[in-house]
Amino acid sequence: MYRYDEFDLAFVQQRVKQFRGQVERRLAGELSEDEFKPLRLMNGLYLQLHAYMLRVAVPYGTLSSHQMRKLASIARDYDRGYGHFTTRQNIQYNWPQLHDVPDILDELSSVEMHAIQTSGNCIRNVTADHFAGAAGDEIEDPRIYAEIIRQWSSLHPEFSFLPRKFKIAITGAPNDRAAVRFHDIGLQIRRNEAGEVGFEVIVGGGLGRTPVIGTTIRKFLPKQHLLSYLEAILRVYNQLGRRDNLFKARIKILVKQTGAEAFKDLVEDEWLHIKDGALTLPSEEIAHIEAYFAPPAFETLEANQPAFEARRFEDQEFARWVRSNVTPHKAPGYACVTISLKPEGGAPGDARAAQMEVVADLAERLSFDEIRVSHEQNLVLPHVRLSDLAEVWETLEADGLGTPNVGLVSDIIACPGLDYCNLANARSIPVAQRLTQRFSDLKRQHEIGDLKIKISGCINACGHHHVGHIGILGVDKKGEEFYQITLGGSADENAAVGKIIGPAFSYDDVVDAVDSIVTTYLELRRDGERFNDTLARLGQAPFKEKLYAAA
Amino acid sequence: MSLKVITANRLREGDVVYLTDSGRWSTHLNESRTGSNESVIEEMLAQAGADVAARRIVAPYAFEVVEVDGILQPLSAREMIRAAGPTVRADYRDTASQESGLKQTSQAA
Amino acid sequence: MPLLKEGKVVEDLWTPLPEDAEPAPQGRIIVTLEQWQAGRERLRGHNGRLGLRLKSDQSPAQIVDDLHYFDLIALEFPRFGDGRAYSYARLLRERYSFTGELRAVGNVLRDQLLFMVRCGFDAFEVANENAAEAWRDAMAEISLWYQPTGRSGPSLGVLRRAALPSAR
Repeated sequence: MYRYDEFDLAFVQQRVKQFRGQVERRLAGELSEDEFKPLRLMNGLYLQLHAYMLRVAVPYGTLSSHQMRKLASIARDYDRGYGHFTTRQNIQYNWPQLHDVPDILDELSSVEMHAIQTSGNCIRNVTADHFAGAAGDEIEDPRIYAEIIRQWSSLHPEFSFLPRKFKIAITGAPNDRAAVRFHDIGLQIRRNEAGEVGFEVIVGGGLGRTPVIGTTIRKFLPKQHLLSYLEAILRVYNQLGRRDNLFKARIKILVKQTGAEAFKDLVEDEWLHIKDGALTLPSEEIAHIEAYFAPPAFETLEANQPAFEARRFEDQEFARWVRSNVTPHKAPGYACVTISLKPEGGAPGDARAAQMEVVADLAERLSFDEIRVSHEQNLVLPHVRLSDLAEVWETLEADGLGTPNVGLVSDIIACPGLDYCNLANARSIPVAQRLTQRFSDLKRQHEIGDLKIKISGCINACGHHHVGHIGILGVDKKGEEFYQITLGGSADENAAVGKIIGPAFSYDDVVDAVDSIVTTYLELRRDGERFNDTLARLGQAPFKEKLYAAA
Repeated sequence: MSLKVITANRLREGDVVYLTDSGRWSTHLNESRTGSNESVIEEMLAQAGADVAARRIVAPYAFEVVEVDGILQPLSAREMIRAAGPTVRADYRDTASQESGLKQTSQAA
Repeated sequence: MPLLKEGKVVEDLWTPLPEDAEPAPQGRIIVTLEQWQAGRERLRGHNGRLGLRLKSDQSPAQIVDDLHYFDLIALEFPRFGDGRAYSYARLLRERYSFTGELRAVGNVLRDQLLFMVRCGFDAFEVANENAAEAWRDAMAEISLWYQPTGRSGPSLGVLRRAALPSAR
C-alpha cells in the first residue's frame, strides 16, 4: 500500500489547518454562507437534508486495517455510529457537526487520509478496480497510476475550478470492474504489439441526466506521458467546457458537441506542446510508487486445499457463500472475499462502527492488512488463504456481514435518496430494502444468478440506474414518489445504457414490478443465459406485456 | 392560503430546526410558529434572515404544513423525512426526532 | 479597488481606456480586446504603455501575435467558479513567455490567491481593505505543491527526487 512520505504528510496537514481557518472564519462571521459553501465543498463537506455530511476519500478504494479502525472510531465519536460506503469508493458520515470537522480531518490525517476534492468542480477521488493487485486477469496494478494521478490532481492550481466535477477511473484488467466507459476519463491499461504497457484513454463517458458511453481518443498512451496527456485533456476542457448551463457542463457534452475526432485533435494539439515537459514521468518515479504496491509475501500454496474443499462439500451454507462472495486470486491457494454490505432489509453500503472493526481485524490477521471498498458498495478482503475462508465466513456471519449475495439480485446499488439527500426526488434505500425482503429466499437468488439492480433517487444517477440490468429511477409526480424502470444497462466491458420500459410505478407497486420482470426472465431464459442476453434476444415486448397486463 | 412554517439548520451543529413563537429555534416541528398569510411569512423569513446574519442558523426557507388533531404535519415527503429523520432504520434517528410524533413513512422490517 | 503586489497594497498606475476617449489619454492605459481589435493601428502608436484586459471567454491564444505590445494583461474572474483564467495565465507564462504584469481582476478571493500565484499571476485587484494581511495569511497556508507549473518554487516531485537517495 502507498504510505505518505514527509511531503505528503506535511501537505495534508497544511490543508487541514487551512480548512480549520476557513471554518473559524465562517463561525466568526468573516465568511458568509455563500462564500463558505464552495470552500467547504472543496473539502467534501455538504449541508444535506438533515445535517452536514462529510465525504472522506478512500483513494482507489484501498484501506489498511489501521485506517478502517479510524473510520470506525470517527463514526462512533463524531457521528451516529455508522458510515456509508459510496459508489465512488468513498465513505460518507451523515451527521457530523461543523465545529468538529477540522478535528475529524486531523484524525484522518493521522492515518494518511483526507477529504480533499471529494466534492466541488475539480478532479475527484480516482477510482480503480477493487480487485487490483489480486486479480488474475490484470496486466498491471492500476493503483500505481491512480496514486500518481491522486498526487498530480491534489489542489491542482489550474484545475480546481472546472466547469463541473471530473471523475477518473482506471482498470488494469480487460474485465472492467471500474466502469471506465462511464467516467469523464477512463483509463484501461493495455499492452501494445511491442509488449509495452500503457493506457487506452477513454473520454466523455458518464451517467447523470445524459448517460453517455465514453469514446476512445487514444488506443495506446505510453506510461511516461500519462500526466501530460491528462493535463492536455483537462486544459482543453477547462477552457472550452460549457459554463452557462450546469446540465451541459460535463466533458461528455463538450465531446459530443465538438465531435469526438475534433476533440481528440484539440487534445493532441495541446499535448504536443507539453508532451516532453516537466510532467513526463521518469521510470524511476513510477518504480518508486510501484514499490509501495508490491504484492504481499504470498506463501507458496497448493491450488487445491483439501480442508477447504471438504468444508465446502459438507456445509451447504458455506458453499453458497463461497459461490457468490469468493473470487479467484492470482496466487494459488488464495482468494478474494467480497463482504456484502447488503443484508436483507439493510441500507446498501452502510456499516456500523463495530462491523468496520470486525473487517479491520480480519484484514489484519488474514488478508495482509488490506481492505478494499468496491464501487458496488461492498468491502473486499483481497488476499485470503483458501484455508482461512471458513474462519472468515464464520466471523462475518456472527456480525451480520455474511450475506451470500454478491452479484445477485439483492446486491443492490442505491444512492442515499430522499432519506438523506437534498437533491433527491424520491427515496432509494427503502426501495432497496423492500426488494431485498422480496427476494430474501437465497435459493431463489442463486437460481436467478447474476442480476444487477441499481436505484437512483433523482436524475443525477448517483445510484447508477442507467447501467443496472434493471435500473430504477425515482421521480416526483405532484409530490408523490414514482419509479421509472429501465432494462438492459451494463457498466462492465459490455457497456450499455438501459432503456425505459414504460410508465413509472408508485412506491407501493415498484417491488411487484421488479418481481414481474425477474419472473418473466426466469420463464424465458435459455440455459445459462444472462438477463441482458435474454432481453437482447427477445426485446422488451414480453417483459412489457407481463408488466402492464394487470394494470 | 395555506399554513407555513420556517425551517433552517443550526450553523455550528447542522441540526434541522424550526422557528417558534418565541423567536427561538426548536428541533421539534410541532413547536413551530405558523403563518397563514404572506405578510406574516415575510416577517418570519426576515427574522430568520437576521438569525443567519447573527450566525445562529443557515439556509432558512418556508414550507407548507397541515394541522391534524393539534399536530403539525408537512405536506411533502421531503419535509416529512426532514422532520422525522431517515425512514430507513429507527436506530439512525436521534431522540428529538423520535419524539416528534410523526410516523415513519416506511419501516424496514 | 486595492491592488496587491508582492504582498503589499500598491498604487494602481494604470487606467482603463474609456469607451469614447478620443484621442487616447497619455500614460499607462488598459484596453479591452474589442478596443484593441477596433483601434489596433491607432493604439500601436499610443504614447505610453499598453495593457490588455481579457474576459473569461477571451483566450490569449486569439491574440498571440500581438502580445508583445502589452506590458500588462488583466484576466477577468467573473465569479468564483469560472476557472478559465487559470489556464490562460499558465499559457501566457509558460507557452507565450509573457513576462509583464499578470493581473487578476473581478471576483478575486483570498482563498484563491495561492492557486492564482501558482498559475503565474503577480498582481491582484481585491475588494478587501485588509488585503495585505489576508494575502500574507493565505500565502502561508500551503507551501507544498504536487504540480510543476513553472512558477513559485519546485513541485513535490522535484523535492522528492532530490530527497530520494536519503529518503529511501
